Amino acid sequence: MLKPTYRPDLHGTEDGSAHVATVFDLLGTLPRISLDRLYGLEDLGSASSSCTPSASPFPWTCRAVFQSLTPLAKQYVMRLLCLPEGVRQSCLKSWVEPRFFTGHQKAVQQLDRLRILLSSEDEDIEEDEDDRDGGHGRLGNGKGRPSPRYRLNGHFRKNLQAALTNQLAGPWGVGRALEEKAAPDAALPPSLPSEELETYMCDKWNGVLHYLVGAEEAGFPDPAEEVKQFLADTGMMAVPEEEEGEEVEGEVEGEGGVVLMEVEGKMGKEGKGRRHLRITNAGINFLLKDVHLQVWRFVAYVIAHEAASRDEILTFLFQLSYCAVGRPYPVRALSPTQQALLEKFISFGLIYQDDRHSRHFYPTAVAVNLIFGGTVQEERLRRGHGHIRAEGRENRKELRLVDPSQLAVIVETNYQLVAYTSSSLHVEMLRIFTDVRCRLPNVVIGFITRASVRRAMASGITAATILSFLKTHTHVAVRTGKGRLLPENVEAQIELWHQERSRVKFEEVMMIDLSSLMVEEFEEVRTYAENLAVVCWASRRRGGGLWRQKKRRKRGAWGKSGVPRGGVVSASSY
Amino acid sequence: MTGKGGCDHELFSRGKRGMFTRKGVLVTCDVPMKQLIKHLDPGNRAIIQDLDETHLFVDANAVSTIKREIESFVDKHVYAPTPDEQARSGKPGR
Repeated sequence: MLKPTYRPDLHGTEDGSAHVATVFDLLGTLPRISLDRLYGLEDLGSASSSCTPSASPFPWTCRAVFQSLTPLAKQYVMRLLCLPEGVRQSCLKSWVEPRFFTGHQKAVQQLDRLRILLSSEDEDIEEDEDDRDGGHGRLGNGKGRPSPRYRLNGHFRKNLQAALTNQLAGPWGVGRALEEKAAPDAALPPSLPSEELETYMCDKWNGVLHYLVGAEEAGFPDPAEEVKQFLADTGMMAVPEEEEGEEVEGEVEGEGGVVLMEVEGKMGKEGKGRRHLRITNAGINFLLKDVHLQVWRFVAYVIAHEAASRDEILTFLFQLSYCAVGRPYPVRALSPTQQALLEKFISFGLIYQDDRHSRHFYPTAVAVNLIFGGTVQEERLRRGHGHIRAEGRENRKELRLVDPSQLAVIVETNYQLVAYTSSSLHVEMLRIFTDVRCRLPNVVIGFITRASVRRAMASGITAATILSFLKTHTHVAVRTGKGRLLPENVEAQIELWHQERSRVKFEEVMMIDLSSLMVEEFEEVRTYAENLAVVCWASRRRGGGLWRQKKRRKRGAWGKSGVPRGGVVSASSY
Repeated sequence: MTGKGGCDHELFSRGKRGMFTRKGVLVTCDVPMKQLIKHLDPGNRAIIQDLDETHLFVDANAVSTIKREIESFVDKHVYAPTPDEQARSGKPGR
């Protein structure tokens, strides 16, 4: 079994440094063949035999990818959609005004990275029916053509067209009246109200978080073995050093990847691991994140773990994001790998199933919003206003990790924080960056102090994380008012405290004395090094250079010219 | 220790290609911080070279000491009311 290559970044500057932030970032790193497969290379022999053409998963993938593009890139795709032969690069370039050329470059880069836009230069490599069709229309087949052509990836084009033109009812063909009639055994059970699913999801996910902080509280059963495995493997929970000796017993059972597949057998033993594992800094950081980011972290972990079936997992995710919450979907439409995946998703509350052998499953809101939800949330926070959310369950449109009726925070201008909550999980979360002064049955009062914030920052939490956490959980009374979610002074102060920590920067560098170089030579050397992005500091007057150590060997190219005047170039960050 | 015009070659080792090189740590900070670091090291033992207003080139071994000293210096100059004071006066705790 694959050992995860995943190493948590305990002192990470940003949480994103340790893993890809969204599914689309991940797509950009995939090999070309993988992307082609996602776009429908194996359309005919596709995953599940029961798949009717209308239930093909690829249009969903293409549609999701299309939605993630920048507006300009979308524009390009739409223009090229009906042009199998594509256009010349020069023609594409002429679509934008020269002053927006950087935007054009970015769009083309993005399309190229996602392998949507193919350049005729590398066309010879991949030849299949679609490409041939495009190839015939080309002039001069080969040498002497004025400018290479751009065209859309054939599979992508076909499936995006399908997604846009067909009246696709829903992933896996659900919702097509025709199909339901044709297969009476697939008669669907009634839809579930989405609030019910949301409560279910909240309970599940809160169970995970409770386990993470080790809060003992009734009503939250221990999470499944996968969950523990995930938390341990990502370094969010670890065995404290003093207990290292006893670790063997608790850890071994979780070690083999095989255990991931069998849940039931392990359910009885969960008591053991719990004693040994404690939350780490990475875990604390994770705790304060938005639910979509948390779930994505889990999914990214699953993808990294099961590299062999990565494509199928991704396809499944894209389809999920076009599902309707509360609607049943047939399990048999999934491939065996995806069915195995279903179990994992159930243990995290992404998906609901009546019982394990039920023929249908219900995606919850988190699963549906997994791909696009996170970005929406971020954007809203950036704009600085939260959603007005009424207390009543019916009015809540969007999922919230911790039920807002449970955690509602008011931050006062004197740095006093009042949190209405009865859950010890919330108290644990607040304790990370506040001095909790007293706890009453339904209220927690604390202070945000320099010491408490610095303590949080020392464990790798950024000001942004704290602020977004506070903003996400602001009390309804504050939300409905016209004022800011947080007092301006508190917000600014937390950021100042953060900056205080980075007031002095240390970088390990190599200083090179270039004082004997001529002025022109020195400039040449400096330009060369700047192009390699290895210069930290350079000064002609001082005649020295600091260069990043990693790239040192490249100096040979200019080092011959003699001895330097001065400058400083840097090494990897300290 | 260093003349204004260039580097003191005694501090550098001569590389393969005849260049003078030296490993160390580049400290980037604001102007007052730099003065503080210089103040902390009156004998210029840690500071290899004073690069400009916001940059210092220091010995790698001194980094942890510098970090610690800065921390304690900053902590000394912060007013943090006790939580009781804070609650009573309603003043922000800085």
